[in-house]
Amino acid sequence: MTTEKEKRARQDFIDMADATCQFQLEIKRRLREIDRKALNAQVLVKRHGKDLSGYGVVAQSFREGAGAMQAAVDAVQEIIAPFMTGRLDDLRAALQLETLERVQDGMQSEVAGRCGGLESYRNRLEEERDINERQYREIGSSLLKALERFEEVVTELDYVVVNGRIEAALKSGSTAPLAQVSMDMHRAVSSVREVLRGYREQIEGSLR
Amino acid sequence: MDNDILQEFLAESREMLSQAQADLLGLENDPENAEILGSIFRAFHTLKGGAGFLDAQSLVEWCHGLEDLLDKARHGEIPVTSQMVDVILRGTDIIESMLDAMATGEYPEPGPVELRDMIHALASGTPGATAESAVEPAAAQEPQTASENSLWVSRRPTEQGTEGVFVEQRGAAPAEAPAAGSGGDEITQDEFERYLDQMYGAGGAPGMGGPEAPAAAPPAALGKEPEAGSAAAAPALKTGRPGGQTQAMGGESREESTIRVDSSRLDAVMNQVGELVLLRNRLNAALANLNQEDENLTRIAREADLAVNDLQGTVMRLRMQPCKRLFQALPRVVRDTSRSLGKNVQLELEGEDVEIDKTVVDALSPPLIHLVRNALDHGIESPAERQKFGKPEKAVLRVAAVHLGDKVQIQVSDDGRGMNPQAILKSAIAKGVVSAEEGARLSERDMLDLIFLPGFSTKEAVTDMSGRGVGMDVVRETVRGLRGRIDVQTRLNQGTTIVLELPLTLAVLPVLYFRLRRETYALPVAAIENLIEIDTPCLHTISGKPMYQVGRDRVVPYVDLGHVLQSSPISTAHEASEGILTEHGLLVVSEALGTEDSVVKPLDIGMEKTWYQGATISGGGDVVLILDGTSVSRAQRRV
Repeated sequence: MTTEKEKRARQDFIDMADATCQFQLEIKRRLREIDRKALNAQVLVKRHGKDLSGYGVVAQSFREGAGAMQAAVDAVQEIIAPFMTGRLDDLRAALQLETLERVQDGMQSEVAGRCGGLESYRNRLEEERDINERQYREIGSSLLKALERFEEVVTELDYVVVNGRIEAALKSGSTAPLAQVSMDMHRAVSSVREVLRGYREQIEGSLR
Repeated sequence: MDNDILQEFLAESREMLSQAQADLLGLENDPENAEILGSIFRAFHTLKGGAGFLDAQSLVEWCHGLEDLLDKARHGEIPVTSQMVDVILRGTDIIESMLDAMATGEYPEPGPVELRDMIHALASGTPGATAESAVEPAAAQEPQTASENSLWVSRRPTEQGTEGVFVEQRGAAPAEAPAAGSGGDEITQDEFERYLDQMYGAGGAPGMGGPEAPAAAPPAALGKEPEAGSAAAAPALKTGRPGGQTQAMGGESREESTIRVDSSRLDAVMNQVGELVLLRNRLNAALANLNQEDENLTRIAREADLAVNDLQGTVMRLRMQPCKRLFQALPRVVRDTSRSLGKNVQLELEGEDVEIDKTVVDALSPPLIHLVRNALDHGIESPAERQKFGKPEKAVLRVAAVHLGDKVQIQVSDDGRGMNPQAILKSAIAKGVVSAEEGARLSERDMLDLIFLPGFSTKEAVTDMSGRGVGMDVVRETVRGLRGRIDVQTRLNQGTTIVLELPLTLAVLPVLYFRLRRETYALPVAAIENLIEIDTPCLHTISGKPMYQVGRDRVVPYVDLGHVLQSSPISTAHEASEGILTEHGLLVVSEALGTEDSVVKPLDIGMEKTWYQGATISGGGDVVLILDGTSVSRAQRRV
């Protein structure tokens, strides 16, 4: 029979696992989208030759930005697995401890007094839980830092996108597709930022 | 003949001749324009001087005849008529053939007698002279009969076999002769003496009692049959002609800043730059694969990248030529063709200063002439027909060059009858080019495309101008060979525009590399509209063919390159997939990788049955096949 606390802990873990899975799928798709938009910008520049040579630098920055985002995502991905494992261990230790507490609570006091090993086992479980929780929070903190770094990269790319939009506006007389590419890039970067913000809130919530 | 001098003479002469031809057409429209008349006169005068320098006697005589005619017109002795322009234009054709003969190392044959007589008759103001007579080539013969009062100087062997300068007085009464020193070619006795002195030294001319000049003067212009004295004659001929001298002095500053270079040398430089571009790509790829970043090395690579780009641009510009060269033959073509067809056509040329690669200019000239003739013959109606449709009697044929990024568009537009896709289809079915069943599935665009099939013609009667159906397929193949594309835009009774879109340069081809499972291919970026994510709900089947909906109102063929190139369709549900949207359809690949400037290496296989334009070496050093997206899409549409 599970308590409300157990249920909530399990649900929290399931929610976090879902969010992580969703984040990984979404970010992969959106990064591919950004890379595709960056390639589109490069193709556009190549097609228009010298007329868009100024935008060529922007298009190149898009691709480099997309590459930097991929590297940031890779760093996040590296931490996600130990974070989830740590969370699982933490949850397991907490559940074991709770089960033991329930067992101890159900025992008559004289019986409990004769089972000294239970107390020491409980102490060990508490120690393990504390260690797991500490490690989990450390990993969680690293994950948040990696996500922060990712956000910084997104901000940097967003800055390039703004420059690209200015460049496109200046060249609007020569080609409309340039403005379209810049707008698409802006949307793609914004959507990554949204996904990232949602996931970060989820992680922060689980660490509270 | 000295080959270098000869080549320089031929190049300059051809330039002058084409300018003279353009001027002649201008003169026809503005017969009173003394400036144009003077310009044409000077062109023939300079040509004559150069030909004399190279001992091309027939050319000298031919130019002299034309020059004489123009000189009389210049002095108002005879009027400039359309008939005269016609004759002079024919005369320029003969000069062209003489230059061609000289290019092969032969001395030119004398021009056709009939045309020569016609020129002389016009010069003498004989009213019966007609320009409509057929022009037949004549056998070599003596210089033309005299029709004017002038001293005729020629150099030919004497009966003893030695070199001699002969002077003849030709023509009518002396009273009719123009004043000496009036700027014409006729020279006075004193001028003639000076001419001889300059050629042979004072008193040294043959027959003047001095020493035999031929033995003393080694030839500077080496020919197949070197004529003694010609070298010494060269400077005399150059300086002896006031017109020629003026030209030389006027062009002095230009000569200082320009240089003629054999185009094969430019080709060699371009190839070397191509190799450099490939090396640059490999260097960049190698740097990208370095595990540790070296800032210094990265900076050097970027600088090298910029330097190669600059060099590539500079060399590319060396090969650029204005479209004026491409258009220069068109006024004459339009004039002659419209006359023979009895049509009234005004030619409008635009964008003559737009520059394009020399190879493109050279290759595109005949197809462009064909398109213009087609427009005149098929597109533009007769004046009566135009009147019936409420159109101005004078049709407008517009040929324009437009610069679009790294491409140039050549547009040939007429305000004629336009094309009827159904009539084209009907004709194609009747000729067995397509079956009725296939025809029923064709869109209007596909129907119009039928005109590019070999042997196709909608015109019932084949004419001299066009209608044999042997041209449009050649035009398309030429354009495709230049990595360009051709498009037809037409509206019934409003006109037709044929658009040729060509790359500015053929030296470097920007490509997009894409992955098809484990293999890497390239596609020219010029063919790419967009890269898109494949969205399964947008995939439909129409008449058994897979189609993809792009946006709200566009449906394009869905071309699975996995199926086409690897005989195994890409499963969009289970495999990585991406769409490359081109004008002719959506090409489905595994992943788009990146762009690069590549250098095309031809494939040593029959190109007709392949879907590849050639191959290139990627930055990674791999040989990558360059796909011809249009061929693949077309092949898929026919399946």
